[in-house]
Amino acid sequence: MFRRPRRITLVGLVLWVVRISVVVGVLAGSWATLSEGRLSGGAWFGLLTSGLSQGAIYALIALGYTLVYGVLFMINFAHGEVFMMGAFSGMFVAFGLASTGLLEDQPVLALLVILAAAMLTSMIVAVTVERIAYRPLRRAPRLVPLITAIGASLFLQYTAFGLFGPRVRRYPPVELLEGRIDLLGISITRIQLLTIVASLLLMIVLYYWVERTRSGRAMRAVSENKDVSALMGIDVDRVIVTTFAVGGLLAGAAGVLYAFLFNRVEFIMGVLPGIKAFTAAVLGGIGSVPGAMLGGLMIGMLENVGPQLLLLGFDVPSTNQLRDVVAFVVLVLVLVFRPTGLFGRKELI
Amino acid sequence: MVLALILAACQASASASPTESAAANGGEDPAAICAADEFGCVEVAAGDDILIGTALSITGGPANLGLDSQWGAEVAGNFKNDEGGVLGHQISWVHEDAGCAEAETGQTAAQSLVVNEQLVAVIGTSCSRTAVPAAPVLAGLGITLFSPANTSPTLTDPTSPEFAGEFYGRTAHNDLVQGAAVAKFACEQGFETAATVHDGSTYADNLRQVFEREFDEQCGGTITSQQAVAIGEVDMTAVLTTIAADSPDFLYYPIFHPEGTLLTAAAEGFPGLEDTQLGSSDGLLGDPNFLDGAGDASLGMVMSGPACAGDFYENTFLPAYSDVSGEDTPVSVFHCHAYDAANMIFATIEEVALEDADGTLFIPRTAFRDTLFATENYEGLTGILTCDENRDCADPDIRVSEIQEVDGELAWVVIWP
Amino acid sequence: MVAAPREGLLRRTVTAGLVAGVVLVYLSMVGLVEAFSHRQAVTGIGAEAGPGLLTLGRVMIGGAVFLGGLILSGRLSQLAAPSAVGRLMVVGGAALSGLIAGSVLALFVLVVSVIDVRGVFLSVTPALLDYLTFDQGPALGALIILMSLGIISALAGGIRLLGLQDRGAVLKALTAALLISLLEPLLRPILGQLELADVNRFLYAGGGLTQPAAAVILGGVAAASWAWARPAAPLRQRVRDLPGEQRRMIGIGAALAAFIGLLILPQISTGFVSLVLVNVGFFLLLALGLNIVVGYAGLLDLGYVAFYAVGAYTVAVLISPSSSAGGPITELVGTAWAFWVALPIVMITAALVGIFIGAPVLRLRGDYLAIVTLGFGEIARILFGSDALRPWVGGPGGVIGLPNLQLPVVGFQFTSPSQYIYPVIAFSALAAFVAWRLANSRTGRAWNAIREDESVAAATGVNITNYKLLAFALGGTLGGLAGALFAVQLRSVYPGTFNIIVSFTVLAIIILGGMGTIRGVMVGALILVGLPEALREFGEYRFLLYGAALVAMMLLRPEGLFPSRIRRAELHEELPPEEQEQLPKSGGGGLAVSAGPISTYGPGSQPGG
Repeated sequence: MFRRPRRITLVGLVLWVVRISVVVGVLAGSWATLSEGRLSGGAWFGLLTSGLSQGAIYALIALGYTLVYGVLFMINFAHGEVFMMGAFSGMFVAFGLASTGLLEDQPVLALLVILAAAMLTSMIVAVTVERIAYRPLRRAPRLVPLITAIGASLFLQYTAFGLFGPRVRRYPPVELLEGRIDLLGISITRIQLLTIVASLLLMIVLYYWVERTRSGRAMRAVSENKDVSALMGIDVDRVIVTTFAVGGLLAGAAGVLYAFLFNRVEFIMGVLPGIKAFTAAVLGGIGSVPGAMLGGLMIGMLENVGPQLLLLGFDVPSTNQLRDVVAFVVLVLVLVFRPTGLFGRKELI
Repeated sequence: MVLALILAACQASASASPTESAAANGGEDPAAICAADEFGCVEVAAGDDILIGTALSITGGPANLGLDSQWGAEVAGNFKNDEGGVLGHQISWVHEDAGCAEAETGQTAAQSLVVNEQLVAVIGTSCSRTAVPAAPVLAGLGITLFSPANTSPTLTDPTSPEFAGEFYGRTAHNDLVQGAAVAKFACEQGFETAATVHDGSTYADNLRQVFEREFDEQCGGTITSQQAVAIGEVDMTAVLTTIAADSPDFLYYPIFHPEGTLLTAAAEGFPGLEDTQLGSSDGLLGDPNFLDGAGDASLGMVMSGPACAGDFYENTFLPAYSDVSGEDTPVSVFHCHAYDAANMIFATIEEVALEDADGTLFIPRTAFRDTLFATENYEGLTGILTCDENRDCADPDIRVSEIQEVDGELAWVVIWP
Repeated sequence: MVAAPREGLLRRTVTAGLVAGVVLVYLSMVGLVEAFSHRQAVTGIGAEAGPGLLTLGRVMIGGAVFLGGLILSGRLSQLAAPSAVGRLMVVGGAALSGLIAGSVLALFVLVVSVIDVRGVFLSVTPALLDYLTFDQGPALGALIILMSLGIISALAGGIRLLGLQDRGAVLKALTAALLISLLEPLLRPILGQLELADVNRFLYAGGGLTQPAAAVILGGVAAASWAWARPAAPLRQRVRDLPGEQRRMIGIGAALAAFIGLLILPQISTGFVSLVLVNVGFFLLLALGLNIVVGYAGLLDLGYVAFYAVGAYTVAVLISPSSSAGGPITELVGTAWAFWVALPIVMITAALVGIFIGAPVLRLRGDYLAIVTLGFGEIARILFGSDALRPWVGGPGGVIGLPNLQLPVVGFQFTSPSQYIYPVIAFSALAAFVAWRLANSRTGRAWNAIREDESVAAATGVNITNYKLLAFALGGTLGGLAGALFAVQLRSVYPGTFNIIVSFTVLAIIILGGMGTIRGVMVGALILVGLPEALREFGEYRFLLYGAALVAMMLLRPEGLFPSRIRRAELHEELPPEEQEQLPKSGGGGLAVSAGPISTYGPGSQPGG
């Protein structure tokens, strides 16, 4: 067959320049840093565990994004605020428990109560937002729910500002979670370990729910084809609410873990983690549950290791400032070069 | 003829004659003085209050910084009002929010303030970058801007584009002074290497730059790494990992709560930083949130800052501060500077104001400025204040305190000089 | 069939009351009531000396209930019979909903007076309680709340029952009084500058309207509105009878008069007012630019602040002697010409950045495009403030020491906001003109086609790639222009200005105002930027307003307040007959007060679910 030679477009050229500079940059930076040998193996490992625990949290939040997108094809921009509300409510419960002494006497039980409270609050917030802001717009053009979601996000943020004030808060100290632990020769802080373990457990539960339970199957059906599912007798509205609820539950748990990990609770705490979690969902392939999990872990690790690895070798000061850039650069690169992500389904784009 | 005489007599008694006013002011005539003054006078009628403005960062994230200064000034005002006010006039405040992160908000605050024509002076701003557009707006009307919290050297440096002009001065210390003091301390401790962390604010950035320069100049110290955390930063592991790779003798992070608190907490037991001395400055000094949040991790940490302590401070100022603010302890670090600034303003008014026979007070603006910035050896809460030729009035005496356990509680104890 | 409406009536009433009650509790808990509780709407009401009772916080509460009652009674009057009984039901229903709202708020007051929730909800202070209960304590206060809100809502119901003209008159009068009262911080200094001290004293006292002034405004506006709207009104008839040509002339004359008023305004008002207008102007320029990208070409750009930053930093580096480059343009041509010579460079740079950002994302679908551009905006923010790029753009210290804007030949220096407003107006007018011409040009039609349906547009031969890139480039240019003006007015550039909220604010402006029209963008900028700047009580709550505005607009009126005819047709499908309120007959202009969520997205989707 006669093959017509492809035209070189300006856009194509720009894309190739980007591809090459990314590859060159990564290789050059890594080589420069590693050959300098400034950070020890233990230091790198510390960054990796840090990234793993943060990534686990991103994964939990990303699951909320990916589930909702699979079912509604919309980006729930307000999901970061669902996460934030969970963190706040967990904080209040935690302080309440601390004042009754339960936090000290029965830390495990107290932690479970805190998690439950946060997950419940987040679930309620998520479902309420769906009901008020998204449901009336089910049939609207794509951009309309996105703009609504942005509005809902702003609204929730500043509601939290009005309700709880702008001060940065923290969780009460829990002795059980302080200090480091040595596991198989690896030094990791207890809270990081808890985060990773708890997130893994939740992800396993979620996977089970999606794959094995009836409502999970219904959700998958709706995400495959909404109209046919309705014809088959599935209550689409209910499935959607359930999806939001599940996403909310996970985000609430993430909120508590995040707050314990970083000891920082404020009304804008959901903005950056929300965007990064969405990046993770996109990276893993939007609509894919294992994709969101993997994407989250990857974003967490890239964020922690990336700036140091690529820039320390060039003596760039304050590499830490650029960690947020990593997530955004990954987002841009993934969407430009491989919008389906790692495990995504092509139809969803 | 008789009518004319009567009219003349009525005229004479109706208005205070210049000679009468002049007599009341020891031979000076207010009308003439005010006319001669480039920006005229503030007129405060008998029975009216003297208006002083504040332009501080009283909302949003840095609200504590601004509110703390505002309350400090208000305490001074309340004390003065209890004594009968300034020359018989009570002190009244106009508060505006000057913001912190963006320079525009300083401009807006200044524009809001100048709507009040009888403003004598403005205490502000909190963050140096908001003073840059605010000062010219106020100076254009002859209103003096007196800052309790700006520390950027550029504001009082005539060669800098950020020079705030001649109607600007401050009771807060210049970063040049504090950074040098910290470097001196570090050198005297025998530190050879140091790392710095700033938070993107000009305050922190300036301080650590001055420190780095002085550390090198004074004793040839080496800076192993310069790092930064963003305001809102949650994870300190990455920053600390990079710093710990070089195990510096001294880690200096002149930042605020909560970033400083989180950094301190994370640094405890961090591999590579076991022998590193942690240090900060008045961003964290005296902040109860820091002690709360960092707990025992803060033991042994040093902080520089002006001294503000003593019997009057503990037993008279602090209770009054609690009354005004509703807080148990001060929420930031510049309340003493604000208190001193307010009192210096009051003292200056008392010195330059002229009164006419009606009891109206006239405060010539340029004379007010000149007298305020000629203050020498004023005893304030922050020390002995003398305004230099660039209108930096702060006591250059910077102390370094260490966090120690005192009677079972964590407290700052002055250890240097 | 007869029973159903009555049940429906009751259900609607109760729902409306509950919703209103929840809104009131929300406003209280979030601190909005408290923030506005200090300024008086009309001074001296209910108190002989000292602050009166009618403070803005109470107006907020009463106003919310009033609006709710108005909307509800609108529904009720459609469903009820047009008899005396029906009318009674309308007013009764409104009163009932008011009572329900009041009881929700009263319940809140009672609960909170017993349980101290300040540990969780900061704004629920004893001061707030005193305010809500008129200092009468929880029990009596609850009663007062119940009754007063019931009465207000009943009044709203009664107003609904008035004839269309009378109702319009009353509502316009109330709105006018509220506006004039709200804008006191702006109007009072202006009147002072104009040396109209007597008018000032008549109108305002203690931060709010005086009682006589309120009466005059209410009566005067009501009378004027009534006179205009009367069926046989001679004046309006005369205007209607004028041939179209003359009416257009009057319209143009009015617009010209408003424009001249705007030009005079800075001279007769304070620097503060001018500064507010200048800030509105910056956002107007930004909105005009984003309007091209989002409104015309349909590309949702959430990172528009990047262009603002690029414009500001580029001009700063080029013309400030203390920048990293030493201000090469200033060195070259001197301070008078510096800005003008640098401006084309800035705009071209911004356009190039637009192309660079646009090129990789062309193929992406709407919401992905939005997120990617969001990423770009954040990357810009972080990079500009980072230490890594400090040698070029100054890091946290930014770039300072920009010279004043100057007019070269004339030798005039712009120093104060009241002077800067003229270049801002000039550039805004220029940008508006360019945008207007673009909208009606071939390019504009191509963008319309792309926005409607990309594949169809491509099939008809429209070069999608080029037109999209053009949109990005032009939008970027305007954003860069706004940034350059901003930088030179402030004479410094700091990284803290360029955050994501700016992008969201600009988006909210064009959403609220109406994508695709200049007029809409202007109104949006005035409301969303001018109002919070003027009303300092707003503070950070302005972002709450933005969020609520975005959601509300999408739910109720996605085409915005002043949409172009095309957009309205795009977004409003057939309205089910019973939901149809009076739509304006003239295309693309009037403000239709729609009562309640209108089902806009096709038959079959229920508004209430």
